[in-house]
Amino acid sequence: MTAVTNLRIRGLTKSFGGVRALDGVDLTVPAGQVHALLGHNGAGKSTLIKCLGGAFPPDAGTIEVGGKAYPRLTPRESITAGVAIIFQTLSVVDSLTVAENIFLGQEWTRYGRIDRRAQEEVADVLLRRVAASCSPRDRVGELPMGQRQLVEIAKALSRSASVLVLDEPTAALSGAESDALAERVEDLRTQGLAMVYVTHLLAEVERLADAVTVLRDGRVSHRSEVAGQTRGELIDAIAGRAHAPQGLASGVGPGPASVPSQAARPAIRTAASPRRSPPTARLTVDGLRGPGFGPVDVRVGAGEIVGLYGLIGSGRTRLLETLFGRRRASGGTVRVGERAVVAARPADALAAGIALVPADRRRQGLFPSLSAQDNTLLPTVRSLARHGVRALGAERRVFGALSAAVGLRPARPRLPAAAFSGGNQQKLVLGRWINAARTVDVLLLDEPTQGVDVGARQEIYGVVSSLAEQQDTAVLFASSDPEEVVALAHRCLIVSGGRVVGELSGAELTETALLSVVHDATSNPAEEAAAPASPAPPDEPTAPASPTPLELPTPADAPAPPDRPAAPEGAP
Amino acid sequence: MTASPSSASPASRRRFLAWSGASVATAALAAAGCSAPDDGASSAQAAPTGGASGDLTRIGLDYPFTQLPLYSTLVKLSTAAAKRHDISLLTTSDAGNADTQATNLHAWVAQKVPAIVSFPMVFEATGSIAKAALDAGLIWVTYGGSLEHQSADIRFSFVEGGTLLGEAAAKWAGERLGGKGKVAFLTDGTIQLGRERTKGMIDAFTKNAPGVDVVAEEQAIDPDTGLSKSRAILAKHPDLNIILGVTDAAAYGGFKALQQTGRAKDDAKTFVGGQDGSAPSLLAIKQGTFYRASAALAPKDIAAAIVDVPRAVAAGKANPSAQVPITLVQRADAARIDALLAQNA
Amino acid sequence: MTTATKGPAPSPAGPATTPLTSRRLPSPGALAGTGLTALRRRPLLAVLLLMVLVFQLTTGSFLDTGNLRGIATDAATLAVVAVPLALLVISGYLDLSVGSTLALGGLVAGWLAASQQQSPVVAVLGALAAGAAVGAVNGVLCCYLGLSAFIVTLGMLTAVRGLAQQLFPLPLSGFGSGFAWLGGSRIAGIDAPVLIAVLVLVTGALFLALTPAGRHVFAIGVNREAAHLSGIDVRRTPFTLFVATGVAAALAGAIKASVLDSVVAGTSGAGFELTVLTAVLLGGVALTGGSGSVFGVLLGVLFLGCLQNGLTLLNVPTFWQQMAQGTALVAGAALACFGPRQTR
Repeated sequence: MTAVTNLRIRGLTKSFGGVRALDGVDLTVPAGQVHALLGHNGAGKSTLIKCLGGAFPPDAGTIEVGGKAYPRLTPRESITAGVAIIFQTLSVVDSLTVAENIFLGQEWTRYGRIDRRAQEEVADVLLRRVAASCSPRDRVGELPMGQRQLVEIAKALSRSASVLVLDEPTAALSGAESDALAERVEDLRTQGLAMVYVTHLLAEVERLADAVTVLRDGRVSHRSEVAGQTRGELIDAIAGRAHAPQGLASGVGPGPASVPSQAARPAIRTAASPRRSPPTARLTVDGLRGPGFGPVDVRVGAGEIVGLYGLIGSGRTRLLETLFGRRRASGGTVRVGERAVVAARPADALAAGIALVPADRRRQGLFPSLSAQDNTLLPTVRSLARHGVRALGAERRVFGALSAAVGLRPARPRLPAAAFSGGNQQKLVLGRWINAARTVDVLLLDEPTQGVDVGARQEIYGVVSSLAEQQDTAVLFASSDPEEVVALAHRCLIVSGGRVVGELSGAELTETALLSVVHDATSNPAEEAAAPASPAPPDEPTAPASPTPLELPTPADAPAPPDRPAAPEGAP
Repeated sequence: MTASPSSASPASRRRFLAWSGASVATAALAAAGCSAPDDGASSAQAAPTGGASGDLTRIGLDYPFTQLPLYSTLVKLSTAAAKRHDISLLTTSDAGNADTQATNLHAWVAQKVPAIVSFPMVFEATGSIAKAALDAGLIWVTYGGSLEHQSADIRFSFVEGGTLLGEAAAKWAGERLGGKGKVAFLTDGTIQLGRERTKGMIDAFTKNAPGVDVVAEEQAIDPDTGLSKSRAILAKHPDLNIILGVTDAAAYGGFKALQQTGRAKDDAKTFVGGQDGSAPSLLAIKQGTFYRASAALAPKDIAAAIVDVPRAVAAGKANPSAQVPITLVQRADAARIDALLAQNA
Repeated sequence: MTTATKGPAPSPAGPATTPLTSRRLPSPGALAGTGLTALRRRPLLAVLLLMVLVFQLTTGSFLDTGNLRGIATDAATLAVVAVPLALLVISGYLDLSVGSTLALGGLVAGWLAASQQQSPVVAVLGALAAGAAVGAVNGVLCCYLGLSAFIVTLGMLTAVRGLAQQLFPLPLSGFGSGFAWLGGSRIAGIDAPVLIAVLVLVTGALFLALTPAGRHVFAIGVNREAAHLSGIDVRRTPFTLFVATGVAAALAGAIKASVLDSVVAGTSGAGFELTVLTAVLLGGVALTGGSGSVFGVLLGVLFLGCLQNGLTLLNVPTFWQQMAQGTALVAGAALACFGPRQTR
């Protein structure tokens, strides 16, 4: 902490099997500064962090912490050097208390026994330093996500960390929790920590960062000392559009593809597109109720795209999952066209023509080790099969057509899904319901572009829009990103406390309007987040019965918008 | 009875140590022409049971190898035998696990089961439990061997069973093969009983038929293993004449392997023999196949001993221990085969 | 397996099964480049061939027709159970009760054939029904009630063994010549058990490669939740596999009973569950579910069969044999793991 510069990374390079994940990256963070690290998924952010934490040895370059240079770090050396990394998936142990977690692996002992009292006293001081409201004796598993994160930060402080890395810290937090975290980050800055703040949210950058580095394809594509950028510039840097040193950016392997012009056709549709009075109602939901939401009435016309916008815990995911039969409704009716649908299981919903693309792709959507073709055609192999034997030729044709239609890259049917980028994985999951052999009447999407880079985002919007246009599919999607709602929806329902509290369409549908509606409706979003009866987050991996509360960060209801309605110039 | 400890003493070091005290005492007493307390030190401890002869109402039978068919037979027969004396028989379920056995025995001692008949899987590990039982005033009868602290024991000469089989096979080889040929042994080295039987069998055979080549000694106690090992041996030695098994089950596997390689059921140049007197083997002997011999124990005799030995201790009899005879059963012993099969049924 | 009766061990099995079992390459064109490619993709195959070579050179009689027949017959019952068990493991479950189910199947078949004077067909069907019942109990508890397959089937291992011993405390034998057909007859020079095993292997491979349910098995094993949300019945498929495993174990029991013409409730199939599981895991099926192939399982089964047989041929003393077996297993697993991996 004595040196002016606390973290200095020079020429860091790391390849995995011929693919350059990092290519000569420099990053300098002085003590008392917050340095935002931006870039789409696969740009090299997490590789950078892992090199810093000692998980991977870099191929070249040096990491200098507190004035001492290391060509490579082991995880232990990294900790001793003063680096603390708060990963998205927190590494706290749920079954231990707060104090036990903070001192895990560095227990204070007295006559060979753990000195519980001393630990708790020190933990208390540390918790106060991060303004956590929990007690050292609370069991971590019972704390809300925001508090757990603070516990982890306190743990970092207990190891006298001088460099703190936060990896998308607000991804699993509610709006109020995110605000609280932002305040902590500001505190810690004044306490002289050097912080690397990884995020997707430009609003957070604007609020917190002293400097910004944007990574793209393993290289620094943009750096500015002061965060005086306009959003447009940053987005361009992330997407590698305008000026950025493009070089060999787009062609390398199965990595995240840049935005190819080929697929950018109907990219951004205007909110003003017609469809004022949808011809027929494809999906009709009347008084649908379930634990934590309802009663809700929704109507989606044929070819209409309706957004459900709301904060975490507002019940959007629950509503979608109930429509899809993953959760049981306690009342109300659902009709597809004229037919009433009672979906007790997802299979029932699918039979009725309703499909869901879940938010948590890794847990609920993808089969990582199975091939791309298996991933997309899984629900379809049975209907394609003849006399119980798979129609291998037909499967190949359907997949080929689909991968061309959605612009899958690389379009290799046998490549395991895990090898694709986030955006292309999402295309695989989406493709399950919109291929030549299978169309649905109603497509439900939960956070359709979560963890998808900016370029692929536009492509997915394009796919969904053309699906609605050409197939007359009714699309209902949930999102916590106002930008996305404005870009994709014809009409938007505002959800709060499990009910629809407002509706915006046409010219009224703007980011500012969305944010202000939400804040009018729920004066206290923190309470809102904790409100629903069941503490289970909406995307538990197994059947709804399992009560493990907050074990996983819940990307489902991810980035809640910051408190103040940020920068109205918004959309790219 | 005097013969058994002396022939057993070289069997295994473990067994030897356990028995040495008793056998020395026995030998000394026999030499002195004194017939009384043949168990020396141990029988002296039978006294503290204190109960009068008719008091015994419960006997605990702890036979660990519940997976063996003999277990069911023994439980059935000894329950019946006990009932005749108004005694109820308790059993453990050790499933062939020495740790489970120890746990169960401890429980019985704690519950003060008045008489315990136990077949220790590991003799060293059971000594302390036996002592605890005696200290608690209970009757402890060791089955299949002897312990330092015990009220009495029920003994078998497993070595002798193996010897009987080995001698019979050697005799047959001398008569029918002119003392030449090939033999394979299916052995067991995993438990004491098995090692004794193996030793008796191999020693007796090789001593009496030195001209026969020993082509294999393979671990096998169940028919599956017996079958696959014998098949492999036969692949290398298709002219194998003799298979001797440490159990009838293993030998039966060998019996089947020989048949599957085309040996006629009653081939005159083939000899298979085992130990136990288990039903499939007895039937095969009776039918005149080349399964020619089994060193058999009579379950009825064992069951009688299980009830009578504790009763004798309780009644304060001077010489309560028993030795259960093992006899070799061959085709000629039709009546005995029928009797054994009837006991098994 | 097929090969064992004919000659130089498993290589001819390669072309027959490779295209069916390697699930990412169902195209028939792929079988042309077997040979080295197969070896590179399947290190265990190389290990197996090496082992066969060593045994042949040291014993001189390993590759004799009679010996290969013996290996094949021994491995047959293992393969019959290993294939459905492998599918079950691929779908993310496990069945440890097969050893006891095998005993129960053999006992029921033997009892029907001997004591009840039933025809061999009825006897075998009775055994299969018993196996299906055990499998169904496992399946209901694990798939529909969501209990841990490890605990449930471990419990069933003991419970079914107890049931078998209670029902049939005494050894059964003398099943008659009709029943001996199952284990002893030969069709076109191939022993019936081997033929049954080949049938099971081919069925398993075709099921995985060519049926929709085969895809579902993988999907459920990789990501059960995602499979559920894709509309796949994530309970029925594994349930069926539990039943199939139970049926296969009972069939193996009936075969063993027929071969030995006797069954003992206490010892029949004791420890069999671990042997099968070893073959399955050695064959490259991941215990975590989601990957594996029938060809791999065949290799695993043959590896165990050849190892056991070869060590007996060499007349290795018992405890050395155990050590050698353990070491060879670890070595086989290590080579299969560190060798060039097949793309998953």
